[in-house]
Amino acid sequence: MSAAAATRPKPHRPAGRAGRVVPAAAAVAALAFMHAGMAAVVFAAEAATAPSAAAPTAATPAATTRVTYLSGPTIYVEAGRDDGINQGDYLEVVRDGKVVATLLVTYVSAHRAACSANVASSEIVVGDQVRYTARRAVSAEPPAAAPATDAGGTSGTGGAMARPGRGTGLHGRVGLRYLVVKDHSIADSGFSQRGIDLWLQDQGLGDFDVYADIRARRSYHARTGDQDEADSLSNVYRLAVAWHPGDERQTITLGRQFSPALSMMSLFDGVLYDFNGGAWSAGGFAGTEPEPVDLKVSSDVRDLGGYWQYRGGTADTRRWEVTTGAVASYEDGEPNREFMFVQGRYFGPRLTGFVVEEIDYYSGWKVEEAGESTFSLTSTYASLFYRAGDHVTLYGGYDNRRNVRLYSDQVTPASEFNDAHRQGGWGGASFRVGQHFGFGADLRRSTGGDAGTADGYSVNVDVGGLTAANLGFQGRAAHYTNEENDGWLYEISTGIDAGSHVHLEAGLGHLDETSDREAALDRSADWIDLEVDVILGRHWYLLLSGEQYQGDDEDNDQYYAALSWRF
Amino acid sequence: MNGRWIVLCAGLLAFSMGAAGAAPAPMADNPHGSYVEECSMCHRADSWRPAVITKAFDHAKTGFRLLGAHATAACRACHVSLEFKAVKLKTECVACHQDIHRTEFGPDCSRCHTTRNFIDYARMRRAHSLTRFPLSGTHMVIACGDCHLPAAQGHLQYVNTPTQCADCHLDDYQGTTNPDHEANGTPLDCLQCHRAVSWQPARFPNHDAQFFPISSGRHKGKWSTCADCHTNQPNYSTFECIQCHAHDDPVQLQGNHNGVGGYQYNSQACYNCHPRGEAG
Repeated sequence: MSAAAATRPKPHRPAGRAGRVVPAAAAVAALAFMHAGMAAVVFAAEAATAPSAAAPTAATPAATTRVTYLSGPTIYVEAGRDDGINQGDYLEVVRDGKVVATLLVTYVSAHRAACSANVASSEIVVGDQVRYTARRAVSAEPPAAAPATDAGGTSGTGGAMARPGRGTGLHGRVGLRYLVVKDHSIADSGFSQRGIDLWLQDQGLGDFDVYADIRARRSYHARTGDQDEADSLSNVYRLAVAWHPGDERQTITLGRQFSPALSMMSLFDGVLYDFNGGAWSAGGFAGTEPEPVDLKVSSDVRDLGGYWQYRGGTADTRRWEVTTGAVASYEDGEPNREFMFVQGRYFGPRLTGFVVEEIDYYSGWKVEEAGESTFSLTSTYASLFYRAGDHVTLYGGYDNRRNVRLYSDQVTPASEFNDAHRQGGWGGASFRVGQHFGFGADLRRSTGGDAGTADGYSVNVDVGGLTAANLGFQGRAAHYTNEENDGWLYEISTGIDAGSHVHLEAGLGHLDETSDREAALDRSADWIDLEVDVILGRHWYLLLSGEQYQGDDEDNDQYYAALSWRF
Repeated sequence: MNGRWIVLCAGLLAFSMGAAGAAPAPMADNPHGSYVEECSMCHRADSWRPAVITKAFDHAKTGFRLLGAHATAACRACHVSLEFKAVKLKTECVACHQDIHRTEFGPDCSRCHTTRNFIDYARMRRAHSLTRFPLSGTHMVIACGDCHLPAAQGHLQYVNTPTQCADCHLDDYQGTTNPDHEANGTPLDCLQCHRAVSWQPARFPNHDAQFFPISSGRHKGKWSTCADCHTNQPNYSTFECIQCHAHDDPVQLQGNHNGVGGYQYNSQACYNCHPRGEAG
């Protein structure tokens, strides 16, 4: 858009147009209601900070821009992220030196921002002057350009490893699911689970972000001869508020959370401070570990740790990062676990890799009573993917991990502590031929500990996109051997779209297993499965699936239904 | 700027403002940066927002087909910026999904999960075949968490689960009464007598060759529990033949053994003359 066009005043809208302020306010109110429902304290904090955000600070002079376009409840202004505007900011519409409206920035691009009217005493028109306080940009590269993941699959609450989504407003998923597994070979046996889950992420509350990941389920177990059992489990995987004091470089996260830079830590309850220095990040945390069984808050095990991360590369070609840190946990004043780690990641156009090494430091009772040496290479894990060309991908990995002796293993041993390394390795290749055909093969070995060695080899082939309805076929054959059995497993399946919103999948399979112990333990089985998924209104997802499995002495079914709403 | 983009935007703007035929409306920069498609693929003339993704939009062109539940995700749940091409997103599952398994299974989520079905129990069972403990029988119809108990940070929950029967069934073993496994020193290797696919009836495959045919010959199927014959539990060195309905009539058995020298009506005498359970 030319400067002239941008500044060209648009004719005044009809008087009725002023009503647009009302739906805008209503939209803001609705959003606020949702926010309040999930985290009233955050909303209160937002409300408290709103006026100050709208008022220019003494340290930062106000900048001005103009309203360029009006569409429905949305007001567009001619300044964006590169001009220092961020989502959640409040802007002021100024006319004749008076503030006639306050705008809440809902979306922002490099040079444009879309806003909703927060407070308006007068109708907003194209050409109105808008005053705002430019906020310091984090870096030339938005947070999402930094590697957002680790091989552990955690995503960040902000800071250096922020998951794509900062500044994206409220997103979430609410799901219901029901699983039934019936064993017909033993009357009235099996189990069922019904569950509900909520995943929520709101990164549009001013300087605050809110995260929630809550899953609850109730299970029923039935076994012949035993009384039916039922148990409930409500797990909070994430319930945290992140605050960015001053600018986006700093993040203080409070609540149940995980940190991608500390992926081996899993969940913790406490506070995490991240500082994003551009090419490097650092952070520290303090908190407690949840109860392992039900994830309830517990103060038994207290953690303290920190990390330092350095990264390089460009956003869209090669990226790499190295993270190192140390974590210590204590229970009853005794060392529970003290370890340091080094992990590296590389994302390139061809090569993707992840490697982590954990080194445990043993002191106190671990050395004196358990006889551990001072240092132990506790966990080694590496995986690599290499795209050798447009048609070939090679991959492999190595795994050498062990349980760490914890304080609870010493004072309340539930069973004999098994510190044997779990070892394994895998490798494979996949090939694409044209648009429709692919095949691959892989092998994997698991060993270490008392369970002996297991080897698995599999080949697979897939043909897809054969018709406009995306007709496809997949096949897989796998051979496995372990300490007890040798087996073959074969599967074929087909899938097709039934219109744009319905997809059908059907499959058949067969298994033959020979026991190394005796012929009476040999078994074979066949199964058939069907799956239907339906997308309703682009926000609703319904899945129905069923499988019947029949073998020499086995006869069981599983049925699963899931409905989720995403927003 | 792409000419088609300009024309379409202008048309949509004019229409939405009811100003068709009036002076050209102000045109905005493409909010999606270098990403150029027909606006109408995702936007409607009567209301720019919310975006309504039409069938014409094919995300597969970007190299990442939206399958299953991904097709219902909001664009900005993944895209940090409306300038879709500005930040190239990674397509690995872990780029967006939290791994509650704490890296125990590595980054290849597709071994157990699909975009359509995140709790594909059948798929998980088959993936289990390639582990050191393929699932069979009753093990196929229990919840994962029954064996893979939640573990504290520093302990592995899945990949190092013990596979010996007693690792999970020790309580069952110690709770047996008929026969009392612990009292009679039954080995902890349950598969000697039981099968994962059918716990009952228990078998004793060496019983026929070592002691007395019960899984073959005339006594096959004539008993239900060990205690039918081994009545002095938990002592398995003693047994009873004459308490069974076929042998519990001393008068009839006396008649059947007329002329048999040294005949006695007691179980040890039965076994001495009929060690394979056959008549004659």
